[in-house]
Amino acid sequence: MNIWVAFGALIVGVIVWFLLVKRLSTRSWERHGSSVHVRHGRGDVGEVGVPPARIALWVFLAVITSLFGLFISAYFIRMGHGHGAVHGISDWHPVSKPPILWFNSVVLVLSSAAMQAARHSVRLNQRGRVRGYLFAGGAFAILFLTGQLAGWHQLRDSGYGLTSGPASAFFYVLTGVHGLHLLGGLVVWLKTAARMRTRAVELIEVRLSIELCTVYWHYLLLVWLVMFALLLST
Amino acid sequence: MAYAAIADRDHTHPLHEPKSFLTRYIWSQDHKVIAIQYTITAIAIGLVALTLSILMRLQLGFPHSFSLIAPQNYYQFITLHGMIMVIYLLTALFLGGFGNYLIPLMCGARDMVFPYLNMVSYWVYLLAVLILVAGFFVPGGATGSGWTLYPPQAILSGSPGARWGIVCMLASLATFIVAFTMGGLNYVTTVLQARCRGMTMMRMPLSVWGIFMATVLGLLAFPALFVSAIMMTLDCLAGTSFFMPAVSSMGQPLGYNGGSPLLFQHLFWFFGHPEVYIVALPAFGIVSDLLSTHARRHIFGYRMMVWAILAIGCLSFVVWAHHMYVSGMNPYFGFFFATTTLIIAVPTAIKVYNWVLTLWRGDIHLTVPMLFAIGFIFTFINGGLTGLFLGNVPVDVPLSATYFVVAHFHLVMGVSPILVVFGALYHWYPKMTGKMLDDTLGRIHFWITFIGTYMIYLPMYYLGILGLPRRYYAWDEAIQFIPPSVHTMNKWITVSALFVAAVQLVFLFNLVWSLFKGKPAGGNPWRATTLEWQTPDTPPVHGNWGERLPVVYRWAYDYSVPGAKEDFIPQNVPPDKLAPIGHAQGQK
Repeated sequence: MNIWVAFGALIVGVIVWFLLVKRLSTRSWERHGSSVHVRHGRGDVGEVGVPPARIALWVFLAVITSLFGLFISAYFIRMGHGHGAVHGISDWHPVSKPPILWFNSVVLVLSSAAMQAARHSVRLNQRGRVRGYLFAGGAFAILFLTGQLAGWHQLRDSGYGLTSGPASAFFYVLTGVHGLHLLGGLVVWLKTAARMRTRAVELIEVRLSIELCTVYWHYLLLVWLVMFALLLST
Repeated sequence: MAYAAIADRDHTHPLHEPKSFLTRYIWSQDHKVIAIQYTITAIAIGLVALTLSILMRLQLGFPHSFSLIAPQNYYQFITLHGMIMVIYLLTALFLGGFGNYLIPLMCGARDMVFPYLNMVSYWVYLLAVLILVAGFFVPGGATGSGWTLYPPQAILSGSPGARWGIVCMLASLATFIVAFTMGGLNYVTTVLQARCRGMTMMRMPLSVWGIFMATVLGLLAFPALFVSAIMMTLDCLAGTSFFMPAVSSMGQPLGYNGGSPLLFQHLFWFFGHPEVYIVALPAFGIVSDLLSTHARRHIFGYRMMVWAILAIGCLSFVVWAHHMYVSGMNPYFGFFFATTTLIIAVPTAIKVYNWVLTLWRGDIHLTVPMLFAIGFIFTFINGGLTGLFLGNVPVDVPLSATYFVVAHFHLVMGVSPILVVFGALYHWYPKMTGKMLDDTLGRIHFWITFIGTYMIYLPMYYLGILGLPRRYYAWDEAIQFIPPSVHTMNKWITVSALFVAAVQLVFLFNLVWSLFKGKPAGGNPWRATTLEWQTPDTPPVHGNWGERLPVVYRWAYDYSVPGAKEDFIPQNVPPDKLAPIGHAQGQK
């Protein structure tokens, strides 16, 4: 239950921070400074320099944070609250973690690193490298997803199906939801990669897509590492 | 890097104007068309929910007179009525409807920042509504587990629709959340990024503030419902035991083991309580603008209003378990959540005081939107004050399962927001269509709705204090302590409900009739200051603003400024166009 309160506090903290940053203290009804330019200070009207897609991505990351945060709270609550048919005995039995998860984690780190390299190469305007790294980033992500599927098979073969117990059910759900998010990222990646294949497209036109993909990849890596640590420790 | 939503019209990159009927009205990416699509769909499904409520009332007022309402139907009606009203009508209408229409127009943008995503959001919402309706027709019928869908009963064979009905409901909710997330990303990003020059955050009309904050709440709270929908679907279809404890049905163990129904309640209400404010905050914002415009007076305490919206938004995440005092959770939590619940009354009360003080010495025009806005204040106070009773654990425990709760939440989050919806439709219909809604029909609609809802819900408080249990299909011999007068009261409530439902048809008639025969509205019939009334065309055309975007020089509430020629100064009037204020004041 503590985790719930902590989660609430986190949200409150974020919003309070937002309040402070935005300085909601303007006396907008007063008439000082008749020129519009005075009011058009930094951080006010839609900063034309920040692309809306970047803002939208960060908002979306907040939504996913909420989603995974709630899954993880549910995980803890189910661990603590669950009682077996005999009252007082927990029905939570840890599952044996498929060893392939370690390999998958390395692959996802590589995927994220490749995306970062692609983003860096865009800045250096090295077209060939961008294509190479971008392709590698996506390929590693696909390899990761395949590895996760293999992990599911290993788990099932060692006797932990979806209905074997809460720990294994959560294992499938958490990895599944994470995988679906990565799959969604791959759709955007595929669109970007397809655009890169046309000779006419300038790097500047895909710069934003590559940057946002990279941020998303790093974020999903972070989520995976948190979840992996959670699964290993319980 | 300029982009379409905040760019002056650039002929080298024309906005992709719709050419055919299909792209203009069906697959439209124009925020105004999408807003109207959302509104019509929400009202249509809302009428289904209204019909369900009438069927329930007929059963309660005249038990056993209608053979088509069997007990399992009654529970299906309760479930669908609640879910539709809260999510598919109010949430969709305030955010998808008014959010879509007002955000770009009030912020001075040409459209949402992601018009395509916006269009997809509507179509996915429509899909969610269709899946919901499909629930009625699957084997076993719609789910009858109550709108809170509590396990284990939601998926046990005793409940109606325990197999496919509940799956349809969960699938529909998940789809709705996907649609909402797409729309919500748009609303937040548009407010943050597409405001026109001069429109600082602290010059935004409170409608935009309310919708903005409600969207933030929705984006953070709906995942809780999504999580519970996924896990409950797995419990139902795959046989996992996230929420399902070891349970036997008809003497047979069902194979579930160890799940926590309380976990579902925590997840559900972690969404469910912010949901109250997802509905209420846009209503708060819109009603502030209606009161200010029709009282010809600036909103009292603008900054305080913004802060109150934000404070309510934050606090709404730490009060959820006040819905669970009787759930068997750790009693110490009750203390914490009762405290936060009473704290949230503070910013809410500040808003109410500010509305009343806005009216104080205002030049009040009792137009139809104003009537609804004032009706809202009354109803919200009535519903809200009884919330203080229910927020306290010792008072809530005996009242929780009675009609007192039904009256409380219907007044505070049913009738109050709906009154704002009506007020807002009367207020903005002239901008949406170029025609005024008929005034007389509007007044009939208001008075019967307003008085009628009191005839329905005030007696329910009394019934609740008598101890009349809610959720019952009929109170026959089983409940001996209920005096016969309760049945008379129930008849009264049902008849009142019939009147209120019937007068909504007058409203629908007015919507259609005025579209063809209404008085032409002109660009700014209410003489309002906000930007949506300053568009070059009414209804605004694609791109909203003609060649040049508006530039904002002042806040949204310059009404009855001393010395000004008119009693309102639109936000986009530059200071050099005004009469010299010092001179005019000197003449007084």
